[in-house]
Amino acid sequence: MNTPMEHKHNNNTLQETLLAKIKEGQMVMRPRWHFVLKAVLGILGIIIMAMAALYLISFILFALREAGLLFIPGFGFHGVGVFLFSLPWILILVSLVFIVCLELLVKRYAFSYRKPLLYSVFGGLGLVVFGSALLFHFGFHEQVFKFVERQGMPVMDPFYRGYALPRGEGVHRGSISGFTEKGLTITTRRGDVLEVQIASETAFPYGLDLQIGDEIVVLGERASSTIEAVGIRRIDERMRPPMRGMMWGRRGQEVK
Amino acid sequence: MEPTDEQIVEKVQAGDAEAFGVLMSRYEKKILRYGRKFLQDTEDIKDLVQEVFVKTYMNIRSFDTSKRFSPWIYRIAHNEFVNALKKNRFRFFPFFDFDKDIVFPHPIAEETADTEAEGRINKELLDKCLHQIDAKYQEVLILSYYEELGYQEIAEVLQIPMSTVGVRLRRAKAQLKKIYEHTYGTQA
Repeated sequence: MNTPMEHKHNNNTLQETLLAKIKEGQMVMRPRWHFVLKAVLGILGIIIMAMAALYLISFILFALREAGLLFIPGFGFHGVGVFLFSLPWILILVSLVFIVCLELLVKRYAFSYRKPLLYSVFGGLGLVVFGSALLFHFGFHEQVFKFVERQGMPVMDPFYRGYALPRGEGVHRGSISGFTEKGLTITTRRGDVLEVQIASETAFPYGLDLQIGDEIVVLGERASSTIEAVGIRRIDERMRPPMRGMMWGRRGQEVK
Repeated sequence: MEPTDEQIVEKVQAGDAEAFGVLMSRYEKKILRYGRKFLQDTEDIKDLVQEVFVKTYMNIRSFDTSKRFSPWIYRIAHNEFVNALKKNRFRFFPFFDFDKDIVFPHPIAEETADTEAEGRINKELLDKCLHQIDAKYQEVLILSYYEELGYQEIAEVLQIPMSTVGVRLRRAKAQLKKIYEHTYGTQA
């Protein structure tokens, strides 16, 4: 099989050394299953990273909405400031780590490295964000939250409660349970009844059209069970996933 | 008719150790020459070339014989030499080697007869000035002019977009010309 030129090189020591090692069994070919396993693990890694990123990003959106934070940038600079301060930065950082790992794993495949990095980064990010938005829209975490609440699951329950319930940074969420001379009362998800005092400076960026049963977010400091409202906004029905209507009550209805 | 690299690989995969010797004969000099463009120490290069062949043999069953063998073995060599460089000269290939040529899209680089249009870069000019140009441009020149790989194959070896290969080659030629003119004072 060797050509004359190749025969000339056959005396070369490197070749002899390696061929001797092969014959003595010191150098062996890795079996095919090794590469199949490696490929499967690579794909599995990509799936796990993508799922983890999807889960976390949709959870962040869910937690922001549940805690009422998603609606407070509408209150102007003050609202934006509180929003930025209250973001779950650790979760955001962990999501970014998952996305970077996903990118590193995908980069080993020709379909990824053949395209400019910008395409693959934005493509990956776009898919993860789109998938998360779908999970968020269809109320995936609401179902999980309800389930873990019912079951009282050890790690998940505190995790969901910790992020999804208002954490006392001046943002309160609840449904209107009545109107008073000074303002209104809301019932929070924990079952607390809070009195919301409305002053002339209180902002209503989305109007004053409030009814009993409306889900609202109140921005303002809480003292005991009273909140001095800096801003109040009704949560838009469209911001709720389809099944949420049953959970929180429709507009104008009493919340059970 | 001489068997192709891929036909020889099929024999190696089937357990013919002698056939691997033929592959080594075909690629030993090429890989040595490729390594010399990364490293100066001849002993180091020989050790690394040995490592390249060891890895080639160990992983040969992962090679798909419907594809070309040369980009595959150059990819192993590339990884080996770059890793050696990282150990020796960390600053040269930092961990996060940000390269905007890979990040942003470029118009599709066509592999045309630009050699005639721009004037073929001769080996003499390349030998004289190669080490003075940026490292990332050196490699595409080596693969293109010494190893005579096409754009697609270079892209596979370096795992970068094909358009980036075209951009790097164009910039490499421009740098080479500039250095030559600066050093020798005449048009390359």
